[in-house]
Amino acid sequence: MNIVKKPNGNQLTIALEGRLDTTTSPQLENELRTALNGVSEFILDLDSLDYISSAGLRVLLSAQKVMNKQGKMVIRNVKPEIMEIFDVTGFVDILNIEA
Amino acid sequence: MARNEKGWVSLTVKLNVLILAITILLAGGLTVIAYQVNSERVDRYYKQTTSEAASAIAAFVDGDFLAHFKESIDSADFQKLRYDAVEAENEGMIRQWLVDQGLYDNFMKISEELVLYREKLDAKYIYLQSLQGNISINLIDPDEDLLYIGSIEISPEEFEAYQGNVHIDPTVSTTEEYGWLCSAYEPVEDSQGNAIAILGVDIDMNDVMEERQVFLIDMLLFAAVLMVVAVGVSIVLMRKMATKPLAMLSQATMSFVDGENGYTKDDVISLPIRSKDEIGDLYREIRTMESRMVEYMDNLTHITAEKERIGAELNIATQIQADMLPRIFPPFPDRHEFDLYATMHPAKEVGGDFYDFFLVDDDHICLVMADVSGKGVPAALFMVIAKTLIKNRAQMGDSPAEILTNVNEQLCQGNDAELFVTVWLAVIQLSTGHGVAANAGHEHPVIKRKNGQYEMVVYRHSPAVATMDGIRFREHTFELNPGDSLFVYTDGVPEATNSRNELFGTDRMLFSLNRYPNANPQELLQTVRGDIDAFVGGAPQFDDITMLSFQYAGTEEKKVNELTLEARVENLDEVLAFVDSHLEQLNCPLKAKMQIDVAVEELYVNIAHYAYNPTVGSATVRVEVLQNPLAVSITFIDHGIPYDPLKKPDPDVTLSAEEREIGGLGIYMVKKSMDGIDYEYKDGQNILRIQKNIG
Repeated sequence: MNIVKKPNGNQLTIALEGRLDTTTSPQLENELRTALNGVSEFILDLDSLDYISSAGLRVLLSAQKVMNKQGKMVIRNVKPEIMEIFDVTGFVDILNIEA
Repeated sequence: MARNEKGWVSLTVKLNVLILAITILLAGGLTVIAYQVNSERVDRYYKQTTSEAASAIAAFVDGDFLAHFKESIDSADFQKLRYDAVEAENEGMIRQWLVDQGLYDNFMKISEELVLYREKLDAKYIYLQSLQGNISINLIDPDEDLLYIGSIEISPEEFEAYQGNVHIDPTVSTTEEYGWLCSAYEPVEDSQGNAIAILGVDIDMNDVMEERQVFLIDMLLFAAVLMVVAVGVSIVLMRKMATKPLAMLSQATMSFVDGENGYTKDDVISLPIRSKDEIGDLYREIRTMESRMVEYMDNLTHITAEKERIGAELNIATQIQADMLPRIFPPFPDRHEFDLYATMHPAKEVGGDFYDFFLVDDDHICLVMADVSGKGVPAALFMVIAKTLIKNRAQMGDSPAEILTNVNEQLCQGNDAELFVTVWLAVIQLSTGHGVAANAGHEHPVIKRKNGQYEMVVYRHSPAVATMDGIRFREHTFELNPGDSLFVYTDGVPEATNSRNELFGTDRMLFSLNRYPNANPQELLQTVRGDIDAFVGGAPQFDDITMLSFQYAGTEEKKVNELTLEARVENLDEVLAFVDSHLEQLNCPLKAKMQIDVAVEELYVNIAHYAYNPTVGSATVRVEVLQNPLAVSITFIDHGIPYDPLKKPDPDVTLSAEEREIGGLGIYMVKKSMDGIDYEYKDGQNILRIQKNIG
């Protein structure tokens, strides 16, 4: 999985490419632990994310919790297969997903 | 040469025969010369005496009368008369005639004179004869009757020399008639100096000759006595000085040579020989030599005993070493997942090579092939330590790299001999064929895949164990599928050398391995060993030759749609790849594929995280394809803690982010996305099955 970061003042955009699964999600978790400091708007671009498992959902959930305290988090360009998982797991209601 | 051999003659006999011969020659020679000299002197004396007598008498004989007397006898009248007288045997007729002629008185006078001389001179015969050509005519002979006068005799040969006044040498002769005589002849002359007749004097030598015989016999007797005395003295002296000491020496030396009482200091010859000559020298030299020999023998006996002791101890060491290596085959008769055989042929009594194999637990076997640098006792001792440490560590469940790291640390302590050991070590999971191996400077292992050929697996090795403190050892994994074979060995195999200094080499080794592709491990090692022996021929074996063959049969006929591996998160990709390979064959839609992938990930990761926590165990993933409707069934099996994930309550998906718990989502997603899911716990196994329709 590739993580592409684009910081812009208090705004941070991260694009994920590939698979966010048990093996790769610790990578993202580490990245976010520091990257979210002082960020008021966090944009997650999933245009190139092909796959997500519960491990990935867990990372998204904890990121959402962090951003709820310091600003807002937006998720963009979700593929239908990923969207279905968000649907099943009720994440559509937790995450702020832009159409 | 020993006494009982043919041709052996005692020196005593030889020397005495020689002395006897010399004495006989000397005494005999002296006797002959003495006899000869004596005889000649006596003969000469007799000849001189006889000759002088003849000469003296001849001077007194009346030559003129003798000339007249000879004339008368030569006359025809006398010849006729004499013939008649001899016929009638009447000497009176002759006497009458002599009287008639006036010759008788003078005849008698000469005759009587001759008798007188004969008696005075002690002669035997004195007579007068006239010589005419080669006949002699008897004139006067006092020992004969008158009929004898005028009789004719053939002259002796010596008379032929008598021509005129030539002197005839006196002779010594013997005849049957007269015996031994010395004869001398002297001419009788008339007043005019004409030689009329010769006077013969014979002196009897029979007594002299008899004396001479006696002298000869005396001489011989004396010589014989002298000989006996000389030989006797020489025998005694020679015995005392030479033959006896020599015989003693010979006897003593022979008894030392026989060595019936062994060869101790007491057996060195000791004889009463003190003579200062060659024999004395010989005795002393032999004594010195035997003393040194005894000393040498003592040393030799000592050294030999020591060697035998060391040899016996080495044999025990060899036995102990051989006993240390597992040698009972098959080693685990109730295990059918594999077949195993190993051999070691040490080059010297004890070797530095070793192999080992043992079950770490029910599902793991550890294989070891190692070669300690050097040979003989030091290598063997190091081998014992290395083998023990490796086994101890392996049985604690360490991975190959951990085992070698630990053993390396321990062996490096106090390794003053600077020995090291190359090790190939593998731990193979018997249920799956999954192996982990480390290679510390050892030969490349050889592997044969089912229906394939034995091929060398070449990769980078770690350094040998015990070379340096703190070495890190690499390990790698490999998979054995049923029917695969593994062959490991020490450098004694490729480096076996024939008499032309050629190495057996890995090419010949691989050729040998591939000769009988279906051979079992024992047959395989026998084939390789046979090929090495045939190659090497009579050349000596320089290095230990050690081989191990492991053939994997699998738990049963392992299905290709089943994957067993260690339940680690790191193996997730392998599991997904295995499942996806089946899905691709079915042209599974992308969405279903992702859902299946997610389900497989969630369930597998669950096992990896919790089933064996905190240890690691195996997980099996089985993929089955169902028809009508087309569906995929995937089963997860582990031997871990019994756990039914379906009993876990579903999370409340309506809660806000802050209220949501982390966890429980995975199994919920599986439940939601799959068309079927069930769980059972059976035979100590968690069996979870999911099904997804893909039609």
